[in-house]
Amino acid sequence: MASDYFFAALDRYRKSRAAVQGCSPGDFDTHSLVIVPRPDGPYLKSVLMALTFGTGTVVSVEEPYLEWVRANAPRDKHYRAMFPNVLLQPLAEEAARRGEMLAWRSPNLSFLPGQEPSARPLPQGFSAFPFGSEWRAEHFPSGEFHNALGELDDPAEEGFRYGIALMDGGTPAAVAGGWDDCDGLIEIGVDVARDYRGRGLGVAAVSAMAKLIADRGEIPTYYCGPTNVRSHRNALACGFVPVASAARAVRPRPTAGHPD
Amino acid sequence: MPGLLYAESSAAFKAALASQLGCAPSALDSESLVVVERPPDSREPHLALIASTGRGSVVSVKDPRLGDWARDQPLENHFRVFLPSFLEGLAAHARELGHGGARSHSPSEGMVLAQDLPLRDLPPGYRIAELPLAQQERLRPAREFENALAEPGEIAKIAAIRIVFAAYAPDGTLAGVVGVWDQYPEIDEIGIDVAPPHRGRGLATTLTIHATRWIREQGRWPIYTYGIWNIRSMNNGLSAGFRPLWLLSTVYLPD
Repeated sequence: MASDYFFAALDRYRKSRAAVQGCSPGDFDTHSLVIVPRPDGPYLKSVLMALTFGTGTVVSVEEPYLEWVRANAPRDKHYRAMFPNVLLQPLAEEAARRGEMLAWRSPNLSFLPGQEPSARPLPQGFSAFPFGSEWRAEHFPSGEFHNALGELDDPAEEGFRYGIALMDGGTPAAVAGGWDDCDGLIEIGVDVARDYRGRGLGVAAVSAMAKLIADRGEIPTYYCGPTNVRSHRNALACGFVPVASAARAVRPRPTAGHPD
Repeated sequence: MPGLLYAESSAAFKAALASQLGCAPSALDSESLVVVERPPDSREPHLALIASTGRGSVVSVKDPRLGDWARDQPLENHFRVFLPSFLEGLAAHARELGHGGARSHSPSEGMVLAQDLPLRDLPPGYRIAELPLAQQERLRPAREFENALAEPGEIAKIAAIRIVFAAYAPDGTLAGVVGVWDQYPEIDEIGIDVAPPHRGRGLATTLTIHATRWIREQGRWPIYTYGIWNIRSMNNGLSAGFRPLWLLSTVYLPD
């Protein structure tokens, strides 16, 4: 059951996404396709992002491709702009004709807490350890907690804020990292060490992190990729509710290979 | 919420899906990628089916050469078969093999039942009744209720429809339609549409629960699927007591 907390978080999330997309929050509720030029800013790593809350779709695209998208976007149903074979793949082909390589990512899912996050008991034998950048720098190079601490191929990744580790004595068993997601929103990334999987530590880590974020007056967000149904189930088990979906076209990073 | 019912629903669906794919149900929990050939009696017609529960992934092919290609791909994790590079690559290889026009379809997510919910009250003046076959056929060409009734060219799906219920507004107009069709042995899928003027009143969830209870009374298992981008449909499934279990994508030949 959605709560006042959820609706307040959703309102803030919609406003933040409108700022990122370069549209007004009302553009998400038009039951139509809205195409806008993509503004400059620190959160804008995509050439194109199609975003829907289910009641309309907003496509935000860099200026050089704006007219092409306006001419080639689907005209019948707004959500067809989310279908990779309708807009994203043809855009990649158009970019190739222009001598540029673009790749696309299938729609992901965005979640917000359905209720104000609350403390849950940790599995027996584990303790929670809040940490900052120093602890992250120490553990990041192992690559074991890449969702929480950042990808190895992007060591200069900015935006890490703080995190929480579930410790088995001195060993991190599960780690949740918090990343700047614009305007007081903090994105949670989580990993459970292979030897500790199947014990409910993913849910425990995300729940503890959501509570830590809420205690700091910020709002937790959670995302899962289109391939990761296990992460989707984890979000639901932690009390998160799906609110939006985004598909995007990106320029591959030179060191990252295919940006899947 | 997932508990005993979710576990039972999941086991029933995984057994049915595995039978259609041509693998053992355990392949869907193998934490690895399993590539198999489609059995001749499978109901699934597409060149390739790609399925994952997040705990194991299966690629099921009609043409064994597509299976060879899938096995040769260096994948970091089994569920990376859903990445565009794999799906588009498989479709491109199918075209090279002579399956002209082969295309990939982005993933759909599927849910099984996790909670038996009681029937919900309708808004005042609304009622639910079975939609007769003749009326289904009359409504189908307009495609206003295409999730529930199937699209006009979807011959196999239309033939598999088991029952359709409609919600009528106080003035007698059609407010929403939910269709139930025989997806696999013992498995019925639910498709739902609510007409735009009647949205926001909980009709979708009410109709979905109504159909779910009918399926359960027949001794069968309900499933609910949607495009991963379809937030409203996803939330309707959650509200009706379903929880996500699997992802499915296809490489297909357009009609």
